[in-house]
This record gives sequence, C-alpha cells and structure tokens, in this order.
Amino acid sequence: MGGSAYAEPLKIHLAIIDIGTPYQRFAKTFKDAIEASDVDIMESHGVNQGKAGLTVAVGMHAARQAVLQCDAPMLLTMISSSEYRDLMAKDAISDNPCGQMISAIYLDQPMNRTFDFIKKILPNRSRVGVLYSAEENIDFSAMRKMAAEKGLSLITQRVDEDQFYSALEEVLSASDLLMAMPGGVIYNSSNIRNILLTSYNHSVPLIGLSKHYVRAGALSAILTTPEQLANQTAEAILSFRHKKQLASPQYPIDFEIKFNREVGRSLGISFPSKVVIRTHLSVGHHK
Amino acid sequence: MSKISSNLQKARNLSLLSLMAGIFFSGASWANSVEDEFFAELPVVLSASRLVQPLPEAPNAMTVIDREMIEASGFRTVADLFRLVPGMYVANASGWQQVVGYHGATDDYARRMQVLVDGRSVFMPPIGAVAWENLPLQIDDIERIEVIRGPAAASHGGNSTQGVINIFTRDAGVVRSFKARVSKGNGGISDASVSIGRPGDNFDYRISAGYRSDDGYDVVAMDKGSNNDSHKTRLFNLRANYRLTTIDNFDVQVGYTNGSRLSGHPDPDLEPVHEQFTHENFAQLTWLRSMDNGDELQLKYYHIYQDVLNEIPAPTPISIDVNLLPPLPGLMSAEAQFPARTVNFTNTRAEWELQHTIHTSPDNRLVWGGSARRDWTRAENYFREEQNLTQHTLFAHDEWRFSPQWLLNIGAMQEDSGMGEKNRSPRMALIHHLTDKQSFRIGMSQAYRNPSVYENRGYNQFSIPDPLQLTTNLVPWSFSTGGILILADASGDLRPESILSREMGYLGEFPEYGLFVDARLYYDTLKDIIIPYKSNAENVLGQKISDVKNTFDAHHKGFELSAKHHWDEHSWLIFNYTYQLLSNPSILSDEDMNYNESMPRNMISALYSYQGNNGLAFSLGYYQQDAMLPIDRGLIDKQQLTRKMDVRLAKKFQLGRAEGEIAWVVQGLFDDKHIEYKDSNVVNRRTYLTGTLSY
Repeated sequence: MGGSAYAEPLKIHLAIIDIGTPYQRFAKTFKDAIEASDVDIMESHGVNQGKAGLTVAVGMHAARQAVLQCDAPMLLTMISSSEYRDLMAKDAISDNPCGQMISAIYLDQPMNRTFDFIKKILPNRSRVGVLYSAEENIDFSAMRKMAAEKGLSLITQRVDEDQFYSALEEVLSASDLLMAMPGGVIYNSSNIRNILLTSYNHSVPLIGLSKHYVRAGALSAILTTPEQLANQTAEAILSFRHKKQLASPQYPIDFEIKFNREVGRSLGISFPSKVVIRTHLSVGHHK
Repeated sequence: MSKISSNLQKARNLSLLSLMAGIFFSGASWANSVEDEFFAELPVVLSASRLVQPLPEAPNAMTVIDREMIEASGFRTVADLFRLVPGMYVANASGWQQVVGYHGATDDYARRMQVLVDGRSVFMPPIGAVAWENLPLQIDDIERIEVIRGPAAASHGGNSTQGVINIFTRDAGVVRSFKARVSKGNGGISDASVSIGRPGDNFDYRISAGYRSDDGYDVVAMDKGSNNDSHKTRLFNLRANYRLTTIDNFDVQVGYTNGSRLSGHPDPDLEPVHEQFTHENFAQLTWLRSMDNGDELQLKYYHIYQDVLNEIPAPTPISIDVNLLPPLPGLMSAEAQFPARTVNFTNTRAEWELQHTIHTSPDNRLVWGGSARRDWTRAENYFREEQNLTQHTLFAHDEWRFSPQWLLNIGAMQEDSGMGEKNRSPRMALIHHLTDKQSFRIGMSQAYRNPSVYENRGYNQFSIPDPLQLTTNLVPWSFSTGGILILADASGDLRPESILSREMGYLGEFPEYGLFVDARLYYDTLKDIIIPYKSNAENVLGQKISDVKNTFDAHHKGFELSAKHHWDEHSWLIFNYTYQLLSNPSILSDEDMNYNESMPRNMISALYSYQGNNGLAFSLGYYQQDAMLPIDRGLIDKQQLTRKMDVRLAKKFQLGRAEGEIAWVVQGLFDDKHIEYKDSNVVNRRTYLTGTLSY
C-alpha cells in the first residue's frame, strides 16, 4: 500500500478462543476484508506466540487472556461494553501502562440508539421495564437521564434468585415494554419461556438482544452481526495502520433490525419500515 | 512482573481449559460471557398457536377472559366466568350441574357450542353435553379463555354452531414455585388448592391438586324442600413441557377428578336422596414443531375417560290406591316396593389431530389439518347396547391480507359424523380496517350440530321386577306390571341442525379515552332444531315416553355490545349488553312457544376493578337478565328479571419471602333470592373468604 507508515506489513494476532459459529463467521469476514491490504494475520486460539504489531481478541474469553499478556496494542472486539469496563477496571490492567494501548469495538448497541429504536417502533409506550440481577453493576442514573431525554422512563427491578416470578410480575405490572439488558443472568434458556409467556400475557412486548430472541417470541431486536462487527474491526485496523494508534472504544456502527411480525400482529403493533427506522437512529460511535 | 508472569501461566492453563470446553460445549450451551447472550439459540416460545389472534383480525366476534378478569370476578367455578360474555346464559340445573347457553334453545346441556381445553374437546357427543363440574380443570390454572361468538366450525371443528369456548391453561413454564389457596364461606363453601412448579432449561412442570365443595342451592322455603345437591370434587393436574430441540416442543398433560354428588328427592320418590360418584381422567400429548416465519406443525393425541356410578337405593314402599287394583276380598291397603337400581355410565374418547400452519406469503396464512375421533359409551340404562362413534374432520382456513386495509378470511370444514352424516361447514369474513384502530367486519358462515348419540339412539329405561310386590292386609298378592319402565326412547333418523349466520361487527379502540368497543349485529337462521318431546307412547305406569325430533326452524337476531374502559393503570370497567330476539315462524305447541323465551331478551354484565398501589383491590360485578324460560322446563320454572351484584375486596401482603392475599367475596349482595333454571334453585347470598400464599 503506497503511503503506508510501515515499511513492512503490519502483523496482527487474531486471537479467537471460542469455536462457535459466530466466531467463525467473524473470522471469515474479517480475513476477507483485510485480505487486500498489507496486513498479515497470525491466528491462534490462545495467547500471542509471536511478535505482532496489534492483537485483535475476539470475544470475552480471548479478551481476558490477551489483556494479561499485554505486549502490543490491543483491540478487543465482540465483547459487551459492560464487560470491557469491568475488565479495564481490574487492578492488573488499570495499574499497568499497557491499559492505555487497549481499545474495543462493542457488540451491544449504544443505549441512545436502543431508546431511539424503542421510540420509533412503540411510539405510544414509554415505560421501559428492565430486569437485572443482584450481581450486575449498572449505572441506572445515566440510563435514566438518557431515557428521560428520549421521553422514556425506566422501571428497574432487581431479581433475586428465589424471587424471579414475583419480580417479573412486579416489573410487568408497571411497564409498557420490557427491554433485555446484556450481562445479566436473567435471560437464560430456563427463564426465557417464563419471561416471554408472562410478558405476553401482560401484553408487554420484549425487546430482545438477537435474532434468536425474536424467533423465540421477542417483539423485535436491534443487533449487530459478527460480519458487521468484523468489517468495522477491519476498518479500525486499517485506520490503526495509518494513524499508529487505536481509536477510543466504539459501539457498532452498522446494525440490523429484526421483527417478529406474528407477535406484533397479535399485540396490535404495526411496524414502520426498517428504512424509516434506520434514518432515525443514533449512530453513537464512542463510549 | 512476577505477578504478570504468574497470570500469564494461569492464562495459558485457562486457554487450554477453554479450548477443551469449547470443543465439548460449543456455542449455545456455553453461556459464561455476555456475547453468548447475543448468539445463544433460544427455544421458540411464542409460536403461532400460542398467540392470541388480535380481535380486529378475527373472523368472528370474540371475548377474551384473562387472568385479571378471572381474579376480579371472584368466581369459584369455570362456568360462572361465562357470565362475562355478551349473550351467554349461565345457571345451574342443580348445585353441581351447570348450564351454559348462548343464543337460545337453552337447556341443561350446552349442545350447540364446542368447548376446548388446551385444544382438547370436552364436549361429549355421546351425552351431548359438557360436564363442567367434573372437568379436571381448576379456575386457578386457567390462563385465559377465548369465547368465539358465532359459528366457527371451519376452525374449531364440529358442534361449533353457536360458538366456541376455548380455554387455555397456564403453561408449565409460567408458575410460581409454590402456591396454596383456601376458601371458606357460607352454604358449605370449602375449597382448597395447592400447586407447585419449576421451569428448567429444557423441562418445566407444574402440578396442582385441589378440592371444591359446597351445599348447592339453599332451602328457601318449607314448601320447596331440600335441593339435595351438595357436592365435593377432588382434582389433580400435571402439565410438563419438554423441549427436545429449540423448535420441537412436547407438552404432556394428565388430569383426574373424582366427585361425590348428592342427588334425588326426599322420600317418597322414585329416586330417594343418595350420592352418586363421578370420575374423569385425561391424558394429552402435543408435539409442536415451530418452523421459520411462524410456520408450525402440531400433532395432538388425547384420551378422556368419564364415569358416573349412580346406585339409586330402593325408595320406601309406595301406597297404592286399592281402587286401582283388581277387586280382592278383604283388601284394605296395598304398597308397592320399587327396587334399588344402578344407573351407571362410562364414556371414553380418543382423538388424534394434526394441524399445519403455513405462511404462503407475508400476507397470507393458511391453517389446515384433520382429526379422527372415537367415542364409546357404555350406559345400560341409556342405550340398548354399547355405543361406538368414529368421527373424522378435515379443515382449512386461509387469512389473506390482500391490502393493508383489507383482510379476507375464508375456510371450511368437512365432517363425517360417524352416524351417516357428512357435513360441509364454510365460513367467510371480510374485514376492513377503517383506521389502524378501527375495523369493520362482515361475515357469513354455515355450521351443523349433529344429533348426539343419545338424541339419536337413547333408550332410557330401567327394569322393574316382575311381578311387582304388593302386600295386602289379608294375603300376599302378586300383580303383574310388565318388566321395563321406559322413560325415553329415541326413534332416531334425526337430521343435523343447521345454522346460517350473518353478522356485521365493528371494533374501535380509542386510546385517548382508554376505550375499546366491540359491537355486533347478527341474524341467524336455524333449521331442523332438535328438541325432546313427549310422544304418544306410554310406559307401564301410563307416563308419556320422551322422544327427540327435528322440529321447527327459527330466526335469532340481535345486537351485542362489549366495551372496556381503562381510567388508568389502576382501574377498568367492562360492560356488556345484549339484545336478542328468538322467533320460530311455525308455532305448533307450547314447547314451540317456549323456544322464543328460552333466552332473556336483554342482558347486561359489567365488571369494575380497582387495584391500588398499596395492595388493595376492589371489584364489583353486575349481572342482569330479563325473564326467560329454559326450553326443557315448565312454566313454573319461569325465571323473572334477575339482578345480581358481586363484590370482591382483597389485600395483598408480604410474609417474609412469600406473598399473600386475603380476599373477601360476596356473591348476590342484595340477596334477592331469585330463581335460576328451575323454581327450586334459589340463589341466596354467598360470602366467602379466600387466603392465598405463594412464593
């Protein structure tokens, strides 16, 4: 590449521990996107074995390991913003100068985008129910402020292990919609039936996190696919190649919208066109 | 530095472990980081068959009774809930025999409606009725009830001539760990129930057991005597759900009830006071495969068994007028001794049903399927021989949204009744969305009610020993009376009743006023109405023997209004009004006359509910109906204008980790002692307290 700041190709270490389909999809798209550039990829399932100019850790397992080694600038991707913040708050990293060399591309959507999305598809509903577990550390005051700016109010309900049903009833009786938050232990395959059936019986739709939520019965979801994330990661690397430094942590730029039209129809909710929704959603690059 | 090295070593170890874990537990099941929440497969929960069809898109008028309404109503029995449906008549033939009728021809059997519990038909053609009190179904286990008002054979099978009651019980995955409820009140009300449940990753279950009892109708006046209709019912239910894959779901249900029912009349009577015993059990297995785009395939099998053990004791000897006997020297008095008799029956049903939902395009949904059902009945006192009936149905209905404003629903059911009848029941409804909150519907449908096996082949009789024993004050004497006392003998050859229904409906939602309105005008033509009558034949006691025949045609027309108003999240009011007119053009006899009065002309039901933030709840139910006379009752049983008001007051409280509620219910606040169904059934005020504890 003419004009490159490096005489030699940039060597990057692509650390992927998990072998599930999303990681394979990420890896494939990422390699395709980077192929034409002068960036060499060393792929591994674990820590960096050779000398690389940048480590790209995909997923939280890889991220946890990569930050321990911390011998090169590091881009953590396909991790949630909350996990990234928790990780960076750990003493071993915050005390270490290499913490300055770490950035991320999150998997979860920026909250203002999610709120805009809710406003667009459910303009007549403003009470957003949120279930969270005792071990979660969520900054609700910032969320509430952001929600209020969008004309929404947050109904938060802590779920203790043995009080799941009453907590669910409690939040549903006060909410117009339920919003799944990543990072908790709430939305597991054991609880999802209870949540979906009970919320449906209360005519309270669930805004899910993925296409799987929507297929299971959530009204809709706004999500970023591994391919979209891989492309954004590839762009960030090409930018790093030029600027020699990583941008601040970013939320995903591109996203998809999924609807469960059957559930919508049953609840008397009609969806605006996805194109119209997209034009109204915040982009929200940075943390 | 050493800290970092040590961490690095740990990380390497972790890496190896992670890799191994990844190999054995790839993707979905390895949910220990947040991204798994985004990528993990989840079971399909809200599949097409679980979703409520939105009222503005339903091809018929429909009333939904949800959990909130059930709680607010304070009702203890399932049948009572139908008082909240416009045009529906609910009464009790006795303390344990409920009558639910819609749009006329009201008698003690709900013959003209299909009744489904989780898709299982509990309307039993052999007896032509629903034994509500015997159903293994607790009111607490009901999630919601959808009542289709109007013929819906195309989507809900045979017998859906005037409507369909579709009861959905709570899913196994939606339960509290433990719930116990106890009620105690006047009139012998004594109910208790307990339920436990546990949701899991792939397997959920709930189990409930209950007990329900009361003394039936009260004795109100000396001349009415006792009703002898107290009853006790014990219930058990189990529902389990197993998810083999994220798209394959198995639902298993079993249920059991046994009950004792006091019946008969004080001596002297042919049927002295005694207890009969009922049992009912069922097992049901449903396999549901939920495919992409909301398509699904459902295969259901169920089996129902019912029996009634009714040992009627021998009445005390009856005095015989000596003048009726042949002249005997020295005869001063005589007595007849009727023997004890057994009037048992068993009823068994097995059914397979397949249903396939396909979205042929984003705007078109087709549901098709078929069923095969076998019923067999052994009832020596009701039939000449064991009755076997095998019915088959094939059905399809299509929902086509041919423009954003228009929806066409068209369908039909082909049915082989198993008694020589083949019927085709078509239905068509066209819905126009005037705005996104208002719609207008016109519909037309035809449906058939096949005669029940009893109506076609009934032979109600019992043996009298021959000779009947008479005692004189002189010498023992034998007097021949003949061997069998026949009460009913169906001559058969009945044609199915048919109904042609035409209706117009309007649905409007006005969120700014918190108002929802459902209005319907209908005009139904019924042909060949099947009604029992007294034939000219006489039994050995000189009584007229009952027969059943296709009688006259009739027109039913009317107007139904249902409105719901939400003031805020704390309070709502449901108001139903019905005006109905029944007419049969050819009045041949008193029975025909009665037909026109077999439903109240005006009916009102209303339910107001208030739920405070402090756990206080208050609800008020009001039920009013004009005078009417059930078609199978005499003029003495004419039911005058009735007004009934029910009140419920409840308070929730916290008891450690558990949540409790105390509720006080008064049914018949004004205690006006009106009669229901027959003149001996007088409704007195009922008061009961209910305590609930759950965690």
